[in-house]
Order: sequence, then structure tokens, then C-alpha cells
Amino acid sequence: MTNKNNTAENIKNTKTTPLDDTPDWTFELLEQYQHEIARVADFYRLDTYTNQIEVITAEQMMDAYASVGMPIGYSHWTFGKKFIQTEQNYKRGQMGLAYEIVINSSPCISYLMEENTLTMQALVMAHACYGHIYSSRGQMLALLLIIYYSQKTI
Amino acid sequence: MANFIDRRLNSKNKSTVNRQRFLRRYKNQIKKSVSEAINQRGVTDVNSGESIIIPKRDLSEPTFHQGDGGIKDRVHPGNDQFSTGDRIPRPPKQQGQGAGQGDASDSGEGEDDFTFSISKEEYLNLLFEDLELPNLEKNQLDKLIEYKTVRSGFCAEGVASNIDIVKSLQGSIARRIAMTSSKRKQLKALEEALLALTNDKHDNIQKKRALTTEIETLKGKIAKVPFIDTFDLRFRNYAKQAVPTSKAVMFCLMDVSGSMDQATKEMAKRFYILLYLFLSRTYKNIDVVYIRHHTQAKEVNEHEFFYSQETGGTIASSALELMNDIITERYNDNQWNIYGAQASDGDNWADDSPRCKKILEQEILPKSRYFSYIEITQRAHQTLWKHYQQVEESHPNFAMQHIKSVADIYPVFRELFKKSTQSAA
Repeated sequence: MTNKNNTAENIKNTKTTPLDDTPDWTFELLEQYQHEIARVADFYRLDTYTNQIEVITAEQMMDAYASVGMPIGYSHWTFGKKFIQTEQNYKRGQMGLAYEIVINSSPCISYLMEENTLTMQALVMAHACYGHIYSSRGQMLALLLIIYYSQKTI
Repeated sequence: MANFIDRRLNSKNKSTVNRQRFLRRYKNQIKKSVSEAINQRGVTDVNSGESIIIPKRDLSEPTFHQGDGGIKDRVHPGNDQFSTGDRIPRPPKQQGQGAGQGDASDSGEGEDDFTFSISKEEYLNLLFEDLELPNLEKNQLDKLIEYKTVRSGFCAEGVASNIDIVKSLQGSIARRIAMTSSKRKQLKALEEALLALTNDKHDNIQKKRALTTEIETLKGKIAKVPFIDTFDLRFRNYAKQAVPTSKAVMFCLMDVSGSMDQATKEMAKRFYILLYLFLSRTYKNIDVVYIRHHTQAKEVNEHEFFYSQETGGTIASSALELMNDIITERYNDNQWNIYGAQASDGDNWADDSPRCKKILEQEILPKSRYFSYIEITQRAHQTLWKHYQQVEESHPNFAMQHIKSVADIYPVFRELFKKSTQSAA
């Protein structure tokens, strides 16, 4: 469907068919988008680690919130409180959840929320999986973890 | 350059531990909230959780942060009427009810109390925490009647279907190694000697031949050690383990004579519901038998039990007799854990009370785990209470409490089932 064998040089010369932009995402579409984003990132010589993109639910996103974004951690009552607070605020519509969380490791782990639309997922992949990881690669001390809250991103 | 992983299915309830820690830390506040809620709860509502309110000030965590120091000039958006130096007139006095600033709060703790829901299980755990079924330990050993078969190691004898192949072959290998080790040592020595002879310049035909025959005999001997022997066989062993029965029957006895009004019945109902919930935590299968009585006792269904209009005088012993009959007929006390709960307003025909005491002491109490009597009345106690008091003194599995109002039910229930060492002794 799309011109997969493109090299960076002939991007401009190729006739392109637009990618499918239905609101609902599927894993095939994500793969496709990822492939194209990677191609563009490569064109701009963004040097990134391998991406490990994980699809999670809102509840898991709130888990991540409660544990301040760390993938693992110790148990503590304050995390329980934080989770309940986040859950309540989210359920009442008082806050949105982050579109993405990136953990700058190798491979670099990014989370996509299942509630988001395909466009959103594409944005997150381009923004987080390639943009952030490029800017933070090699600066492990400076940027261990990036969380973008919905209010800030858009 | 990228791998997609679907994490949606795993690591659900990752926060469970943290949630439990949170509930544990705020147990006192939550319990207070739960026990206040029980009195407002619908009587048929046994499946829902409960929402919990904790005052926000109890939850605040201290943090290190920069203080509000220094001189600050701020421009707040939206001010189009005032500038520095303006004098603001005192607002005119309002007649009647001024609304004041913000909304009034009935709890006095502001609108942002920390509210959250707990599940049914969490609710029940909190509700019945530090309560236990009386006499459970004491009676449990006598009541072990159900058995389940469990694995218990291996044995050397058994039926063929229970052979454990791995264990048997392990034994076989061990036996073969043990039985052939000296022979294999000899064999090795002989083979080395033979090799030395072959490499020798001389022919040594005689010696070689002797060695070769010896090696052959040894090899034959080693090969003769059987691959598997009856000695090696191991069988899976099974043992019967006694498990306490998980069946319970709960008898609800209620006086429906003319003196019991609907409010009193509702109170009794709340008590039965608590008892049912409490038992359902321990037993998988619970039968409930409803017995209502005035001068005659009758086994009825739940709706009839609470709402039937039938009425009359009071003879409490009739209900106890019926309960005893039903136990004999349907609930063998070797297989069923029997619980009884009697509710009454204390009225009874005076001559009947000694009879109640007799039936309880001789028939019902020896068979049941626990029998509780609650008296729901505003008046002074009558003969039934006095006779039951004598029963209570001599029988640890009998308990009685007095309920005056709806608010008493939960405390009284806790009182009846609180963890106590002396009742189990």
C-alpha cells in the first residue's frame, strides 16, 4: 500500500498515498505508521535506540502515575492514595491522562494508551519514540524519564 | 526499529498492594465510616461495596518545598474595577439569609474530603474485622467428617497405575551404578592393560587372549545387571486428609406475635443479614431456615418471615421444638455447622420460658455451634430473658444481647462475635 522500499534520498520524488487515518487504531496500522515515522526520523538522522512500544490501558497509566512513572518500585501507602486520587479525578473528568510515558533505556520503552485515536498514537510515536529519544540519548543523567501530560502537549 | 507489545492484559491491579497498604494505614477512619454506613444501608443490599469518606486533613503528607518568602508583586487577571489605593466600601447588610462565601458543608470539613469506594470484599473484611466464629477451633476437630485425597510422597508398594516413572528410573540408575561400579573399575584396568600390551613391541598373544576373555566376562556381568528391578519401583502415595465441612445452616427464629411491630422486625432483619454476611465469609454453602412463631411455629420463606400479617399470642418453645425437629430431620449435626439466631421482643407466656430453657440446654445447644438471642425491646426484661440468662452462664455457645434501637445492632453484633479466648476455652 505504501512505498516501503523508499530510501531517504527519493522521498521528495515519490508519489505518496496517504496513510489510513481512521480514528480506531490496529496493530497493523501502528506498525505502518511506525515504519514511516522511522523512515522520516532516519532521513533527519535522528539516532535512537530500538523502540519498545507497549500498549496499555488507562488503569495501567494510572498505575504508572501512582508510581511516579517508574516501571518498577517498592510498595507504599502513598502510591495507593495517589492511585485513588488519580482515578477519582480521571473518572470525574477533572483531569486527562498523559498521552505517553517514555522511559529512556535501551531498548527505549514507550507506552501508548489504548483509548487514544490513531492520530494521537502517531503523534506520540513521532514525538516520544523518536523526538525525545533522540534528544535524550547520551544524556542519561539529564533525562531519565519524560512524562507529558495531556494539558501540556496540546 | 520498534517492537509492539500489548500490555493491556497483564499486570492488572498492579496497585493492589499499595491500595491495601493505604486501607491498612487509614483503617480507623475507614472503619468509622463503615460502621456509620451500616445503619443507613438497605437491608437487602448485600452485594454492593461502600463509599468511604476520609477528612482531607488526615491525608495530608508533609513535603519539603520552598516557602513563600520575599516581596511579591502579582497581577491577577480579571481585575477591571480596582487599582491600588482604592477604598472598598463595606457591603450593605443583607436582610435574611445571605449565602456567604462558598457552599455550606454539613460535615464541617469542607467539600474536598477524600471520598472513594471500596469493594464488597473489602467492605465485609472491614465490617467483620476482629470478629470470629465462636467455638470454631474447639468444635472443628470433632466435626472432621469430610476427607480429601492428597499426595504424600512415594512408597515402595502400590498398584501399577500409580507407578512414578521418573522416581523409578532414578532408582534404577542408582542401583545400576552401585551394582556395577567395582566391575567397571576392573574393566577399566583390564582395558588399559590390553592397550598397553597392544602397543608393546612383542606379540603377547597368550596374555592378550586371556585379557580379552576376562574383559568379555566382565562386560557380560555388567550387562546382566537388570535395567529395572521390582526393587526400583516407586509408587505415588496418597493420603486422606480431613477437611472441616464447609456447610452451614442458619436458623432464624422470630416472634411474630401481636407485640412485634414492623420496626422491630426490621431491626431483627438487619441482625439476620449481618449474621448471614458473616457466615458467608466462612462457609461456602449456607442454608437459611426461617421459623416464625406466635403460639405455633411454622417454617416459612423469607418474604413471609418478615412481612406476613399473621399474629397471635406467644409461645417461644414451639419455635425451638420445630428447629430441633428440622435439625433431626434434615441437618445432621455431624455434617452441618448449625447456627441459631432468635429474635424476640421478650414477651413470652410465663409458663413456657422454663420449657424453652430445657429444650435449648438438652437438645439444641449440644448440636449447634452457636445460638444467639437478641431481645428488641424498650421495656424491662421478662421471664424469657431471666431463664436465658441462666443458660448463658452454663453454656459458652449461647449468647444474648439486648437491642434498643437500630443503632445498637452493629455494636451488639460485634459484641456477640468478638474474638474472645474465654469462650473457646
